[in-house]
Amino acid sequence: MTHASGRRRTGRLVRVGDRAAGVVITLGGLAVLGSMLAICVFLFSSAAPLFQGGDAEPEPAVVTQVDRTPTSVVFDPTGAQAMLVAPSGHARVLDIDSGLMWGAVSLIAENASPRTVVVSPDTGDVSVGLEDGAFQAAGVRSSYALVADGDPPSAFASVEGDRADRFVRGARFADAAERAVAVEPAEGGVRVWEFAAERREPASLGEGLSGVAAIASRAVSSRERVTAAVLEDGRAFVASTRSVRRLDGRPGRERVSVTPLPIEVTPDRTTPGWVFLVGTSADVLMLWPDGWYERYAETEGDAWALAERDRAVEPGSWITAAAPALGGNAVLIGDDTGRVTSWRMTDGEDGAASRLTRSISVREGDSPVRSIGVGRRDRTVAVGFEDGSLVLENLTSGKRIAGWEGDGSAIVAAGVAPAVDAAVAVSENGMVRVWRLEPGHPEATWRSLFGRIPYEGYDEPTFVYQSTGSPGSEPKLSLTPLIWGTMKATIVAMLFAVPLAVLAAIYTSEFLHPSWRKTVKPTIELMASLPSVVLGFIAAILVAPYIAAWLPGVIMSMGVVPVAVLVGAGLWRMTPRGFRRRVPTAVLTALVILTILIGVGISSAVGGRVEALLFAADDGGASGLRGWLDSGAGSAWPGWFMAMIPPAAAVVLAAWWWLAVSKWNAFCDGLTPFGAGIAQLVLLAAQVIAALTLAAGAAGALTAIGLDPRDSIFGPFSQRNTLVVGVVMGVAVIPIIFTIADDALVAVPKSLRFASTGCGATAWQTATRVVLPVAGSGIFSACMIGLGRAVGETMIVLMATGNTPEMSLNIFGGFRTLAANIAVELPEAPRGGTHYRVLFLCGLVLFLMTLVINTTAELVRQRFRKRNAAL
Amino acid sequence: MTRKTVATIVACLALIGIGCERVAAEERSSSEVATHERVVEVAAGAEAATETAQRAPIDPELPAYEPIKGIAGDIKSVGSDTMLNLMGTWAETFGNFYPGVRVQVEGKGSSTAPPALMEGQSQFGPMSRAMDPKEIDEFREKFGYEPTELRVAIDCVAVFVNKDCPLEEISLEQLVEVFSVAGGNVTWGDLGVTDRDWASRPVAVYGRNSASGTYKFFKKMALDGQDFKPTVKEQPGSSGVIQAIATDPYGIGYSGVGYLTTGVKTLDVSIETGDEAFEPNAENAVTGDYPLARFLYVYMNYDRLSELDALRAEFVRMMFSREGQEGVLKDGAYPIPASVAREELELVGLEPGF
Repeated sequence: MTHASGRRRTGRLVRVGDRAAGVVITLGGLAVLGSMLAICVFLFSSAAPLFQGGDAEPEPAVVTQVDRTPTSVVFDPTGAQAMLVAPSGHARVLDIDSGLMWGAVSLIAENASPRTVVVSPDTGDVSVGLEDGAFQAAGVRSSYALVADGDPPSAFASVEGDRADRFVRGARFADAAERAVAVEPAEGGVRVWEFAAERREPASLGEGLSGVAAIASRAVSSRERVTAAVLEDGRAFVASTRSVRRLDGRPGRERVSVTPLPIEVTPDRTTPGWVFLVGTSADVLMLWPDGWYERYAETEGDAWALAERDRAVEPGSWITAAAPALGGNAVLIGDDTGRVTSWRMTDGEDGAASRLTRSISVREGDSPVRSIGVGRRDRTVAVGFEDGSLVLENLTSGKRIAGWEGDGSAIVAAGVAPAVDAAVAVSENGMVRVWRLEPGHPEATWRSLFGRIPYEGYDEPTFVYQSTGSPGSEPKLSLTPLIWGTMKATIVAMLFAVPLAVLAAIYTSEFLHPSWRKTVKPTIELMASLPSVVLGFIAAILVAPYIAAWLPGVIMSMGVVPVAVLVGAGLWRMTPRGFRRRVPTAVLTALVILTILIGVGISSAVGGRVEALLFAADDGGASGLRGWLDSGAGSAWPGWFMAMIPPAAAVVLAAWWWLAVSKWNAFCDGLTPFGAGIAQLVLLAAQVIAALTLAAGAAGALTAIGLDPRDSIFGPFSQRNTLVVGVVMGVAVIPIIFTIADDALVAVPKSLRFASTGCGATAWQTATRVVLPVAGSGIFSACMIGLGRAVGETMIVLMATGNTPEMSLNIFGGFRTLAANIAVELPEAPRGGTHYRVLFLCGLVLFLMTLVINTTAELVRQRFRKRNAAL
Repeated sequence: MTRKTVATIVACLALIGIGCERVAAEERSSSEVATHERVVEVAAGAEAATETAQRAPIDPELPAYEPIKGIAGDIKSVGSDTMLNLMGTWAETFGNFYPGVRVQVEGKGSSTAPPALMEGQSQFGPMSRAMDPKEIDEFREKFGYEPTELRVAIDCVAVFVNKDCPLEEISLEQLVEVFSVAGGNVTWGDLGVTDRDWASRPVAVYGRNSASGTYKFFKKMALDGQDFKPTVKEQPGSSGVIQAIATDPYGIGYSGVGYLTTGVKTLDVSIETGDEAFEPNAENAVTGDYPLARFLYVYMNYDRLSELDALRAEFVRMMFSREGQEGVLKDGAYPIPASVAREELELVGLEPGF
């Protein structure tokens, strides 16, 4: 012992290791922070383009001249060619890239004289009103193929009046009355474009009629096409063509029926400027330039009647342009003040007759609207004005995609490419201009993603999520129902999990013998290792049908089981003290489980009878709880009674706690154990009766003021419901809440417990008044971490619900969460598209929700910790 | 302590066991009856199948498949869930001809086919609907040509109800009421069921998820493009729909007719209430009388300027052979006419030889 200092120097190796560990840990921490930040940035950058506008080139890419001024522009499905249709029924084909007007076809049947020509922009279908009171349907079938160079393009073979000697930039063209063909060199072969007019035979509306002044035609379903025609003398007819589609390529049956509209022709009646078929019922809508409209609807049988007559624009204004919206359910009307409005059919309130209402109104400029062009695939409209300016806008979201200044010559025809990457405008002076643009994400705005939108087919602005539809339907992207579903699932799961987990933690840390705690805790933690997909599977296959089959029993057991346990506690209290001490913990636990099982048994045994008592069938209606929920008939009282029991019990217990608990304790202290047990049972009975009475009274009051719980927390029963998910997701989060809460309780210094029990407090008093407040922060953060887990839970929700994006409070209804939505829809979302980015936005919203929850948890915990630091 | 752990776990398991036993016991009592019925129905089903086979014979022009030498490699198919069984059957048939070929089939919905084809993850994209113009656009933008569409089978989208349901037929008008937002709350009574137990019960509506081609087809053809109600419970697969309807007596849903099992039955479909309703079968599908008939498609990424590689060419030939169309019949869909097969083979530059 020569060195009296006694301190050994730290070894070099240890110091190096120490430093290395320090560096590694710091780097690891930074990497975690960095990757969190990177995820955040990635999510944000993926979702951000949704909110940006389009990117349009200010100058037209192509300027060319056309002789016979067209009135409609129709793109082919590829968007590479556009047809300019003139009122004579003559259609010219414009190559969008080169501006070459390379072919022309005629849409009119031979020997027919056209009076009006109307083109549906979505299908390219053409309807022609003829001078002799007949109508004719036509269409242009465009095809596009890549073929090997060696093949003689057979397309040329049947073209008469072959102009194949014309070569422009290596391409060869041919056109005749009904076909136009172009063969363009491509890498390794040639590209063949073909436009063929399909002209049907004219169909007569009747004998000796005047010319057709206005016509509209629309496929109301995949089997029926309706045509409405107004004659020059004011009379109008509706023709319905029904056809059957055969799968073997042979022509199917076709049936045409013509019905006259009940119009009294008076000398001062002018012919309408436009006619449309609106709504799902395809009502006939006639529009006059002076702003009046008339709507005729089909009544019983095949008869038609005038349903409405009103103004569409302010008095003094004129209608200057009108077009059907994509799909034909709505009509777009432009007026001389530069406003475009969208009109559609809505149902009146309380079953009143449906009427035409204005849903969207956009003021675009001060110059009168001259033309409205509709996109082929989405709700994009191109609006051309008197002053020559052109505006592109998405009708659903109201987002302005692009706009171009005019040159003073009015735009008489406007069109937009299917992919919204090009716009065409034809001026009055015959000038054709083509602009190129990047549309961005026209369907997404703050309002369409989070707010209410007046979608077609819905009576009022609503939150809807239905991301994919058939081509032509509006994508509905409101995230609000998904956020709602996420919150609903989380709250119900927490209502189930928090009381169980926290009470279990209090029991294991304060009352259970430590040697038992050492086995119980790991066992519950083992539950956390159950993969959530397994829980989801159990929920869908076992729990959901079980709850559906035993619904009254399941609901009753929620009240009966706690009461049964309390009764058990009272009976236990009646036994002699010495006996109680000798009973081993294992037996006691078994007894507790037995009381729970008895509670469950009683519930399932009497559930049916209680149900029959409460929800008796009135008169032949559906009986039972499910009948009551589903039918919406019967008194609201039993439902309120059911819903009011938990709050009533809480009120009774609170009142008891404030008013009488100390007196009661003093009274019980003077009794023998047996007497105290009896007293407790009597008290319990009194409390149960008080709670039931209170609930009955409250239910009566609520029913009396006319409220029905089936409008809010109850509703039609679906097997995959919120209750199932709440229970199973509760089971998934219980272990995590339990284990953190238990740790927090055990971490409370022993000295506090000793001090409390030393002062004469019972174990219960120590637990509730000393340990619990100190461990409060830990228990709170346990709950918040459980909450964070529940918010992001995917598999259980995905499997155990119907993933129905509804917004209701109904605990027997379904929902869809943000996380499940991402899992369901990501495989189908094309990379980089609007839908894809909306799913990333879902991820971002979810991330922000968990971030807020976890940050709150941490902040609260820090505060509590500071407060308790003194202990 | 270890003993206690074991004891606790055993106790928990025992409790779970008791719970399961009870549920199982209840199920058993009901399933005994079901098993009994199944025997009968299997026999009936076999009869029905032969009957269908008689009514929908494979076009005699279609040749038997003749394997060639030197075919090996991997084939992957990603797409329709409706066609999952069909692709599986074809994979098996093809594997029998060529033991050196491995075929993997994945079916999560038709909408997953185009992305997988475009990213080179699959050689075949089975779809139960035709590709959207938007999907074709994206494909064309990437490759400069359009995907090749082959019509490989005819199918009916059937409307399914629980086997105990008294309803026999339904019209498209009623389907709009039941499935689309245009309809309100519908009870079985509204659909014409007079049975007291049923009349006041609401119809529980099941459907497919939005990635499904059947979802889009049904929306377009049965609902005239209107949205589904938000309360339609979306199932990730056709068998999920059938399973849900089999366990929910008041359920209704749609799926390919090939997914028919003993727990459910199909409804005859008419266009308007009161019109003649047609059964989903091969004849009614081809004539168009059954309004929800469709083609099933297989898409390929194939540049028509090049020659189709031997592996894919042989698979295509097999699909349009007698053996391939027998597989179609086996999975409950209907074979295509030889004229269609000829067109499709010529489309990909193969000699039909019939």
